[in-house]
Amino acid sequence: MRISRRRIRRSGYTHSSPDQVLYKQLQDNLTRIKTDFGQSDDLVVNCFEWTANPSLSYACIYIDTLVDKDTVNHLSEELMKLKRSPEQETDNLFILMRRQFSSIRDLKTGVKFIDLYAELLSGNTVFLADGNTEYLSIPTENKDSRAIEEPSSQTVIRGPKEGFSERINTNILLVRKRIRSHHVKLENLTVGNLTRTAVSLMYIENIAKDTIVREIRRRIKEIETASILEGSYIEELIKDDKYSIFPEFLSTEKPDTVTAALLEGKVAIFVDGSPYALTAPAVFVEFLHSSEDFYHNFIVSSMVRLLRFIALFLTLLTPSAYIAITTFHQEIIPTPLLISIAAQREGVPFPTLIEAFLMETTFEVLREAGVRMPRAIGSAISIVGALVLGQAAVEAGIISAVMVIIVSMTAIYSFTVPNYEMSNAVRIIRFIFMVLAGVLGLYGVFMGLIILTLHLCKLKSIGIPYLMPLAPWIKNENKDSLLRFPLWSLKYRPFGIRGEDKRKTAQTSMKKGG
Amino acid sequence: MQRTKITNHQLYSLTANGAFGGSVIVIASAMAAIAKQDAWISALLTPVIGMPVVWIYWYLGSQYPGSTFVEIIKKIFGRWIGTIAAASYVFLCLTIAYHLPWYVGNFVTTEAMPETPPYVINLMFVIAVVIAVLYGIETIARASELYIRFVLILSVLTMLLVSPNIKFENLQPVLENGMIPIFKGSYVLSCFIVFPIITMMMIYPANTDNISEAKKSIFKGFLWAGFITFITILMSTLILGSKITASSQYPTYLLAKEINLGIIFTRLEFIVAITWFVTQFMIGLLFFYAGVTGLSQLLGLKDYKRIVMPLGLITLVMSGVVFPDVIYQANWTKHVWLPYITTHGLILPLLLFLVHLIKKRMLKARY
Repeated sequence: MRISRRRIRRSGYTHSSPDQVLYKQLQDNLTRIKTDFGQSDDLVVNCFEWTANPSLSYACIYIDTLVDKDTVNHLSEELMKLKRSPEQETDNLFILMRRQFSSIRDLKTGVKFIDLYAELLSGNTVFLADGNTEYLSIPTENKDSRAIEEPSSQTVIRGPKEGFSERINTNILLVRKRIRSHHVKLENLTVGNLTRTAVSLMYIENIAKDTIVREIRRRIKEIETASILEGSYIEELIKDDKYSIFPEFLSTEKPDTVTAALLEGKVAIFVDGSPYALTAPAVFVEFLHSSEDFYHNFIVSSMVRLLRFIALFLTLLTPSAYIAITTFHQEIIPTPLLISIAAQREGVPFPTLIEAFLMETTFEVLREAGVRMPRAIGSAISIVGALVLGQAAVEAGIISAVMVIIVSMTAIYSFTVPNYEMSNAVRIIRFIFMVLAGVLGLYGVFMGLIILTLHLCKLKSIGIPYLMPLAPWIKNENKDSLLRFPLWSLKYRPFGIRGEDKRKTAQTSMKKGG
Repeated sequence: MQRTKITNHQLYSLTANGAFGGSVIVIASAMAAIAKQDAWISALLTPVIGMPVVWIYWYLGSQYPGSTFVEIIKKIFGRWIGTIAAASYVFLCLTIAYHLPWYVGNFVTTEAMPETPPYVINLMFVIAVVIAVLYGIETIARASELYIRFVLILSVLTMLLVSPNIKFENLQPVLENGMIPIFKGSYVLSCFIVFPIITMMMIYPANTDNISEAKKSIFKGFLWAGFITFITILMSTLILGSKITASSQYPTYLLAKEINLGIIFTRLEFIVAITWFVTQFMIGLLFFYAGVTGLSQLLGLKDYKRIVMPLGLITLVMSGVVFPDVIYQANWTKHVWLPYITTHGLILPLLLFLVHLIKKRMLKARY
């Protein structure tokens, strides 16, 4: 015991030596718990004498702020009624308690302090009985949380409008109820020495590739950190290319997106406290897909997808192309247009690069302000943004009208990218391209593009090449990348990601040999 | 050491990129100078003549699966002669690697940005090449798949857009000077689209799994490159006529200036320019990669990535001083490049092939 006490002091926040088991005496246990929790005022330790045999006592321990008080009260009442059963003359209070509560689901027992603390901290109520080295944990968790609402970052017109919330169990429920199959597997992990955050892996047996599941599990288990507050912590810690700006996990607020990913053989990662789920491995084209693509006609969806890819390119390249062309390559603009642009730029005192930087930065500031500011003053920002920075700046001759058009086009294009992380990445890279354009013209932009493609080709998500169906080019796998082919032609799950169960369509619904 | 394996589609795209080389924008000029209006016949003939050469490359690789060209040379020629021959090959790769940025720098400063120092332009190019080589063969192979699509689509698009300007009189009279200039033209073209595939030998047997499938991929890549080159030369002759083609430095670029569809689709020459940058980048990359990996194998280094940066710096510096001017470069191409690449792209593989056969025969005779 002395040794273990010394260990407690040394190990700081890790409570106690992990294998320390409960003592026989109730008072010893209570002292230990109180010492470990220190001066925490919300720790409630109630000690009772058993009405049937006052020489035996029991304790009810919970953390006041985490539990649902009605449930706890109810439990206490139940315990008061506990009597020595006439048929079984046992004095073992613990066994009696367990029998009393046997109708409650999720009843847990254990012997270690570390497990006991985990139970307490997840909002459960723990009962200890005198003379027994086991504890009994009863779920009394306070389940208050945000209701299931429409996702705020990924909106759709057609399709389910449910979004994840902050409670991990609710999120898992939302996915589970969409795939009613016993092949859906769930693994619970705990990450973060201090936060002990619940992290769940979900995948479909046989459809997900074993090696990928194992790799993700291994990487998450190897995480050495004190805290996990959001899924992005996990992504940043287990990403393949840690310095890359591009997201390698697809984060989504929509349960139907996660479901679709699971059905392609991907693994979903849920993190408690975050309304975003991650799916991996993720490939580049996926970041431009929306779940809605599958809810509309395939021709419409294909065109919309193409539009998004074009918009991604344009949001990346419009300002830099404008800078390059007006600074170095005026000859490739048709003459009438050139004259009109030149006329507008006549009174502007800045070179195009500076002008573009001013405007793009202003726009980024507006955007950031729009996210951060209190909702009530939103209209003020839009008036300032639209009138002062747009119209007034042009009329004052500080910037040209074309530049305002270019910036607003860039902004609107960037909003078509369905994934926020991807659009952020493109936002940043755009500025590098603007500098390249200002220094080296179209040649600079183009060499920048070459380096960008090289970088994208290098990236991997859990060992899967980032540009997967495009490079490496895989025959017949591009039906769901740039375009969206009709459902009946998508017979196989994505190559490289899928496990043993390759077919998407059931054998009977096949056109040939069905 | 386990080598990274590339897919057959990647082998195809790398070969096509290697064969395109830097030729797509300039070659029509040299061809038109030699074969006049019959340049297109030479271009049609080149793939046919090139086939056996490419077959030799494939055969050599298939006999030594898993080894690079440097290792193959050493295995066939033995330690001393082999090292000398391999060193000469590596030297070729490293020297040509700094010619390519010079071409780009020269092109950009001539056509678009006369006031920018060429070193700055070369710097971007070399940075891209160095990054690619540092990322490794897997990345290079994947990127080549994207680039080859880009190049094929844009080349075909340009040719389609320019096709309204075709004048068939430019091809007449056919075979005015007999067959000799045509064969000469074919030889010159081979030096640009066939022999440079020798750089692929640092990748092909070493980083491929399936040798029999590889044959198909290599030939497919080679023929695609031959086809696009043929179309380019044919269109240049058809539209510009052999005289203008022969006298211009960048005939394909000139060709694209002819595009005039409506008011909007004019001056699309930058499409040709960026296509050419891509092919130039890829062939530069292949030469540099072959040079770097070859040198590291000659020196017995475990990881080639350590010498990439210093060699990249040398490449950058050399790219600025390699040719003093365009005339020098034209003369160099005519008098040095043709025999230089023929030695390494034709004679060296042919010798290897013969020695290999003799060795095989002798081995058979012994047992």
